[in-house]
This record gives sequence, structure tokens and C-alpha cells, in this order.
Amino acid sequence: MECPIQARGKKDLLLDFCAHTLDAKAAAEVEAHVAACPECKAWTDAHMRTWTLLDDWEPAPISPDFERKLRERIALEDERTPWWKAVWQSFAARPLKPALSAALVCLLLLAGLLFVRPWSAPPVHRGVETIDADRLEKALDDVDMLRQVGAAGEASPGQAKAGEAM
Amino acid sequence: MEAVAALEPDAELMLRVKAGDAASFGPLLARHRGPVIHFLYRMVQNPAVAEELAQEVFLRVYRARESYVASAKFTTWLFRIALHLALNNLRDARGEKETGSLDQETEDGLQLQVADRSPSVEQRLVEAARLAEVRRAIRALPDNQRAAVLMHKYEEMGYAQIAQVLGCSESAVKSLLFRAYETLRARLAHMG
Repeated sequence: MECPIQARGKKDLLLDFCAHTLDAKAAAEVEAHVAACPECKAWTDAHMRTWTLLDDWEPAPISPDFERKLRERIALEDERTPWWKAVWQSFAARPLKPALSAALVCLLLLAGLLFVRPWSAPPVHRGVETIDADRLEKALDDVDMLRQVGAAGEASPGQAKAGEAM
Repeated sequence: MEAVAALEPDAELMLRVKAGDAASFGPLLARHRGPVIHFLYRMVQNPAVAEELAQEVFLRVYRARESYVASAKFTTWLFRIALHLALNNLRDARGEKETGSLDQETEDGLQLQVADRSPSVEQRLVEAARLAEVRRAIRALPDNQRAAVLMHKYEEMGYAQIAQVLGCSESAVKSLLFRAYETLRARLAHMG
């Protein structure tokens, strides 16, 4: 095994060895190396002494009212939440959430249908009416023209006969 | 809830809190209150300030419940918040020290009455002095080294998680830890 102190980027092996976080195989390898390497032995011994000193530092006990104070602050926080948000959250917490979303979508669709009113007379109808009026007007024009042609024929029957002869 | 069930228990609880189940915040608080307070206590070395900061940490977690995404480990997120608050506090405290009067350090046990000369009191004084040295040695570390040592030694976090909390690479964490332990070893050598 390469010396962890000499090799680049291997020093963490010694840290892990001292912290007992290596797996059994790696720990056995490091242990064998440390036993044979005075430099690593000195490093691990010194590190273990420091580690033990750090162990002595116990944290201060937690105040008994820590949680109560926190819950009070959270309750205050909740009071500041807008009513609509609170209502949504109370619904959203239940398994009704998908049904509620579906209902909202249906409501929006219904509102859209009421606005568009697809069942009322389509706007195309007006176009048809316009076309009919145009046709009527054209037909009346045609009738007028035929009348004029008929009147002209009655006024000069010779011309008509000459036309038939040709 | 199938996708949620595959998550770590903390993330699952947090997602329930996000969905409006405020009761799920209780187990989260019970599980992490101790480690967060202890970490903050060792960072700022003042129990009252540590608890105040811990309250703020959990309040921020609660406030951020709606935007919570279970993308990282819950404790990583929690300790990122805790570290951020601790560093802000340390920076503010340094500013106050520079402008105001020097702080009166109240090392645990150093202000014990010494009139009573019984061996137990002497022992307690020696022990208090030892602890004061350890605390001083840790306090003298640069902030990021101190945070790395506290998470590694006392919270038993792996390099990857410490790296995520500190926002640096794993190799940087290993380097930080190695330098920090070297410094502590040198400072505390006379006590061994």
C-alpha cells in the first residue's frame, strides 16, 4: 500500500481510519501500513489524541421551552398566512386534491362554453342571407333585362325575322 | 404517494408538511433539533444565541415548505441554512467586537468559585480549563474549517455531504479537514 502521507490525495485514508469509517478490508490495509510506517504512526497517534480531546466537549443542554417557543413562532407565522392560501392548503392536504383540480377545470370549461355559446345560430347564417339577397338582386336584374329584350322584339318584328333568316 | 415513499423519511415528512400536514413538522423537529442546536452552539459558542439561531433555522424551513423540492438530502438543506445563519452571526459579532467593547468571554467553568479547595473543585477547574482550550482552538480556526470539523467530528457527516453544505468540492473538504486537524493538533499538543 502507498503511504497516505507521501501519496497525493490519500491523506483522507488516515482521517477515515481514525474516524473508523473505512470498511473492514481498507481498515486492515491501513492498519498494517500504519504499523510499519513511523510517519503515519506518529500522525495517527497525534490525531487520535486530538480526536479524544474533542470528544470531551459536550454541547450545552437544550432549553426545555425551545420547542414551545418555536411552536408559538410558527403559530404566529400561520396567522399571517392569507385566508385564501389557508383554505387552499386545508383542501390540498386531503386526497381531494385531484378531484378539486378536476372540478376547477370543469368550471372553467363551463364558463368558456357559456361565453362562446356554440349552440346559438352560427355567424355563417348571415353570410348565406347576404348571398341570397345578391342572387335575388341579380335575378331581378336578369328579369329586367329579359323584359327590355322582349319589349325591343315586339317593337321591331322584321328585325327579328331577318335575324331568324340568317 | 408512491414516489414519495421511495424518498428518505425526512424528505417524505417535509413533503407532507408542504402538502399542508403541519403535524409532520413535529417528527422532523424532534429528530433534528439536537444536532442543529449542537452544531450552532459549537459554531457560535454561546448557548442562548445557538438556540435563537436554531429557532430561525426551523422557522425558515417551515416558511420554505411550499417551495421545498426533495432534490437533496434534507439534512444537507437544513445544515446549509444553519451554517448560513451561524456565519452571519459570527460576522456580525466580529463587527460588534471591532466597534464596541471587547466581549467578556465566559468560558464554561472558568468562573467557578475557588474558595473551596476540595479536590473535586480542582478537578473541575482543570477539566474546565481543558475544555476552554479546546473551544478556543476550534474558535481560532477559519470559519469554513471550523464548520467542516464540526460536521465531520460531531455530526459524523461524510465528505460529500459536507461539500454540499459548504458549497465546495469533496477534495476541497478533505483539504480543509486535513489542515484544520493539523492546526488543532498543533494547538492542543501540550494537552496530550
